[in-house]
Amino acid sequence: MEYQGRDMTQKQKKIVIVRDFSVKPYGRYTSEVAPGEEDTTGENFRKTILAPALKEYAKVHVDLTGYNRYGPSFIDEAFGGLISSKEFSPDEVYGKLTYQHDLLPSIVALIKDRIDTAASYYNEDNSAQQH
Amino acid sequence: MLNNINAHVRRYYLSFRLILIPFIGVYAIFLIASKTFGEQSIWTQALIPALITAAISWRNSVVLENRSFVMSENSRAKEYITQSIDDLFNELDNKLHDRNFLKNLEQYLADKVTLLELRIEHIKKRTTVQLLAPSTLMKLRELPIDMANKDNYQSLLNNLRFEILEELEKSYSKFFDEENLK
Repeated sequence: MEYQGRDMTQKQKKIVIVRDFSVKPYGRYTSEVAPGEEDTTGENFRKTILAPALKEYAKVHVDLTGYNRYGPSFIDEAFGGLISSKEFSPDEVYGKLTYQHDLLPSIVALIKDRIDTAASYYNEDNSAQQH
Repeated sequence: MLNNINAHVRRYYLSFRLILIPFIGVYAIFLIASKTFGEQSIWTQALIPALITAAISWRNSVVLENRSFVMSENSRAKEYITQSIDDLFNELDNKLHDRNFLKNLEQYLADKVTLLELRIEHIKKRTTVQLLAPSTLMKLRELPIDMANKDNYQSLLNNLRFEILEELEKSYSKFFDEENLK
């Protein structure tokens, strides 16, 4: 679903995971999960849905409500992976991406933590390369 | 000195709220009634004091009943969550040496912690107390997975268990203090 935010000059995209991706997201890498579950991984979500949306839209909002048993590996790969794959800078992710889960605040905290951790590694790498 | 005053206020706040304030209220209304209807009127002598006393008694019983309901519900919920956390750590302690279990550890934790968190959020809606912070539940979702691969996983798990139980007890004490001032 696409909608226009308060700032009508900026296009926004809302991704509802259970509707737009999978009703049971699970696992980190597509190569690691059992046959039949390849489409449900964090890697697949990042590559096929989240990263293209971040490239195309000024703001992307991910709604995780509807499924409650997210594993840390899915979250880490889907959200932290945006930065650790070097596809996006931390500033781009912080500036463009928002997320919510209506029932479980710890999932939101986990996403923030994964993005912060990936950003700190990214900044360390960058400063090491500059020296 | 300030702490002393604070402790006294906490101790006598409920008595003050349920007895002293209504008493002052009744006396004030009695004075107004005696000015309006005259001191010997049946309104001043009987009807107004009786109506006000009945209303205050009803209000006090509602306050006390609601208070004890919230207290006992919260106490039961805290016990349930403490027990669930203990059970979770006991199970982890027993199963972490099993390689087959390690493959499913992430999903196992996701299932258990989600149920725990839903319960905590439910309690928060009813009593406004947050027994465990989202950041603590986040740790519970992922730290045991990191710990499982370490040699001293038992002591690390034990530290995490008591850290979480300590936070739970602190949140409950805070709730108790706040409830005393309502």
